[in-house]
Amino acid sequence: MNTPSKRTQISITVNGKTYSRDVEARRTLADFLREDLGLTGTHIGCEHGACGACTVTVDGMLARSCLTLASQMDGCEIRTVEGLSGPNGLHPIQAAFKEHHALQCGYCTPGFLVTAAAMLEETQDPTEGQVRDWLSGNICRCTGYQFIVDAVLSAAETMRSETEERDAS
Amino acid sequence: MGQFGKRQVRAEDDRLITGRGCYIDDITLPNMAHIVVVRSQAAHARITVDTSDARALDGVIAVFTAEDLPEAARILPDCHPNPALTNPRGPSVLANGLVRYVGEPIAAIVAENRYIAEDAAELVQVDYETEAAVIDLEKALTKQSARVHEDLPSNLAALINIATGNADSAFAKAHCVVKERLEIQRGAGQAMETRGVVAHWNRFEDRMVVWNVSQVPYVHRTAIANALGLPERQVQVQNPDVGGGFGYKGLTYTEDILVPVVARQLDRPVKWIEDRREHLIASYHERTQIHELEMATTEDGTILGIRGRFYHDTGAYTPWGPVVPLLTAVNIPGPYRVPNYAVQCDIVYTNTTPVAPVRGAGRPQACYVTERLLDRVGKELGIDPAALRKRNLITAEEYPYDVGFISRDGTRRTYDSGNVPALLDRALEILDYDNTLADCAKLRTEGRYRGIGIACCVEDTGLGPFEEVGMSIEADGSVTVRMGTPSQGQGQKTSFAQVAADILGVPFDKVKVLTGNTDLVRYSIGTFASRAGVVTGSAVSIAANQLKERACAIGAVLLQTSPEELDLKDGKVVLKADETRSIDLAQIVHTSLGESGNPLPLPDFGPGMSTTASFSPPTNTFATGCHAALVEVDPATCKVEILRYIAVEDFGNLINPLIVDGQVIGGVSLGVGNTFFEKAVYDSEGQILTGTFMDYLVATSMDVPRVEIDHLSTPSPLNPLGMKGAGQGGTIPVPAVISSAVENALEPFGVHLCAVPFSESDLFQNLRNDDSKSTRKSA
Repeated sequence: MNTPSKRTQISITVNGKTYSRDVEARRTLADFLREDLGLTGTHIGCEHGACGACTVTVDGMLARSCLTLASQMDGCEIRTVEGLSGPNGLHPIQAAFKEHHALQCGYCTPGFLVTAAAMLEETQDPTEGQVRDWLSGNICRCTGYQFIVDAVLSAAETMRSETEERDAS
Repeated sequence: MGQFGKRQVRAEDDRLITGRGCYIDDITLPNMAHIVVVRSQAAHARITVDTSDARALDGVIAVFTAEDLPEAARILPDCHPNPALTNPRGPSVLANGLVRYVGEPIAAIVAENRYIAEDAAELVQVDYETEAAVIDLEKALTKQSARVHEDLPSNLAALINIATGNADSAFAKAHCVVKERLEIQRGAGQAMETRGVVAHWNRFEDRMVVWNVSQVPYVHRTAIANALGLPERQVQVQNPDVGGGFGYKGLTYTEDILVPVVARQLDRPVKWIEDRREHLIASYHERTQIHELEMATTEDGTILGIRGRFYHDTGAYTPWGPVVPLLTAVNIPGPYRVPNYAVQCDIVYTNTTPVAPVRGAGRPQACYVTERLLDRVGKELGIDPAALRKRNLITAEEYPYDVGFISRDGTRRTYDSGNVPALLDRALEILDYDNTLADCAKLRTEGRYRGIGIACCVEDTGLGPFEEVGMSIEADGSVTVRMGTPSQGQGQKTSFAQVAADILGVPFDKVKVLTGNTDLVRYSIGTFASRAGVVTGSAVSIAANQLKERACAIGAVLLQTSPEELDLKDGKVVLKADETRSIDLAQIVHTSLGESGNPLPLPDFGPGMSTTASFSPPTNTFATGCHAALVEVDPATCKVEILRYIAVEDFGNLINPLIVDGQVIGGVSLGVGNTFFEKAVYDSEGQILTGTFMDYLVATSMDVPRVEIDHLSTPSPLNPLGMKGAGQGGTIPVPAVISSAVENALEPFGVHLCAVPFSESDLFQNLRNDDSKSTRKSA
């Protein structure tokens, strides 16, 4: 058996705040976020990268925190569901999830929110097909996806009109 | 006010969308130890277990095997005993010398953290002396078969016979008799949150406190109290946010007993969180049945009878009596007139994961077989599928309808209200049936294969015996509702607040619903079988009306009028004739409580604005539905595209149509999985081959069609709000509808579908197999 005691020092920025920690080399990013930083919004659904509940962004790229080691994250910037809302309140995607009943048990929701927010940064005017494609790596057992898709399309519209308003003013 | 019936967004969501939910794995307690369960790798074996290396690992606190458990905590009780199950067998909490399925718990490692516990689990040495495994459902009943339980004469757990009329004489005079052999494969609930338990001994209150993800915390309270030899008052069970239930979390599992026992013995808080592989192999499965059924009709397709036999795979144990096969057996007649019925069910043990209800609970199988038989009759007699169904549906005038036999709850099975012909008409209207049929025919001449499927179903919902609700108007005039049915995502905190808000005349956001704690009300049954909305919702309305009556009585004294002249509105007791004359509810509460040290000012009403109420439905209320689908199949690739999916439901009166629609679409999503993907696969030695989400596939955003929903309502006469349960209606008809549509699309190729799930590869094989145009042996 491998000796589990190997540890490494990392400096990691999560939702804009930088943490220096000594972590066991095998510790997953998900466990690090949840247990070491207390950011329990990131959920563990399968621990083999298939369900998407643990999705976070690492330097802007979507990543499965259950398959990522915290020790690999030295110098990286992470965004979790807790980092979506800002000083002005909910991110449009969060507000749209509530408005469209896009969650039931809420367990998969953080992964969907992080994925959808990343998508909307890349694609401002997605089609339903694009939304479904982007979300196809996240499993939801409650909603049947329809209201999630509606929420993402609606959030995209909100964000476009916000951008137009900003540009106009 | 008008909260009842409003598409109210949920009170639950703000925490959940910002990452501030609190699920079982988010609970940490000081000095908490972690449990990892060592599970059987063999389907049937005698075992010897050596835990010495594991115990020696640094950071391991203890290792438990069967002999470390107190006598009362060694066998899992059947929390729902039923005399129809003649040979029940419950699993050992930790296997005692013998394992009967892959995944059965053998030992529990307790360590300082999960990583160390996982390391130690690898060090537990289990010697398996394997025995022949019973895997094939039909061979299990042959004389030569090995036995899952050696003390039983065979692998038969029970025989159930359900009958009415005289099926044999009906068949003797039938014009048309069709016969089918139909298979439904094993799937699983697979909530996104796996199971988990946290337990600790509360020294101050001298009792065991358990957090778990159960749908039935009060059932767990009883089971844990018995296992620990404690009175129930010394056990508290709480549910945090729960990440999905789907029925199979409605049972007591071995770990639900094990974890509190470990916490008690070590006098330390402990946590156990199941991983997904464990969840796939050891959380209960459902659906495997093989049906050999016949349907007899007249020349015009009027059903004369259904008869036959089906085999139900219950896995290695019977954790919830015979409920699943019993539900299948009583649901086969569905919303149709079936005057003569005789079906036998063999409940069979196999060396596989135990079987218990998963959303739908025996009814998807029932709907599937009946609708497949109807499709065969339609083909034999050349009758349009919609017309055939309409001919046989119980008409609105025939309700209440006596089905002719005893139901799951021991009462005469009587459909309380319904109008399924109207649901069918509405579904056909939404589909634009005649034009769509013509389109399909035209496209077929162009080499494009579209087909329509239709199915109708009933669902027994809102079953007894009762639910209890506590309710208070607080000093600030807000309302607190306390109840026993926990939420796994159904939005109880929203729906029940809507019911109370209307009756008490307060804004929705002034009502706080509390659940998930066995201290809140004294007794409860639980959230399953589409019952919480109906039974708890009714109790909420009764409690709210009691408080309303008391508020008006106190208001009448203060306003010097009679209670009949008063109403509750905008947080006040108001005089109906002159709403400017009113008293705040806060003032009513204040008056009812009096002043410290003084006598109660109004002693006739007792102190405070708090009450409890319970509701006990006389029997089930029956929800009904009609689903229809339009699909296109590419015969070259066998890719199935669901172009339209229509669900017309009758759930009686709806508290919150937004939440109900969510239930319907989510239900359809599971049904789509049951139709195409979801299959727990065992090899001939009982090794489970679907231990990851790469192997056990569920529907994704690419697979579930947009669902077009409509609701028609025949309010139930069996509860004060006229409600029917909505939790499973979305799931039940889906495999029947899509099978029918795909078969219809591929009619020119003579494809005959007899099994679900069927993958595109199964369909491809089926289409190219000249000898047998069926998916009978889809693997």
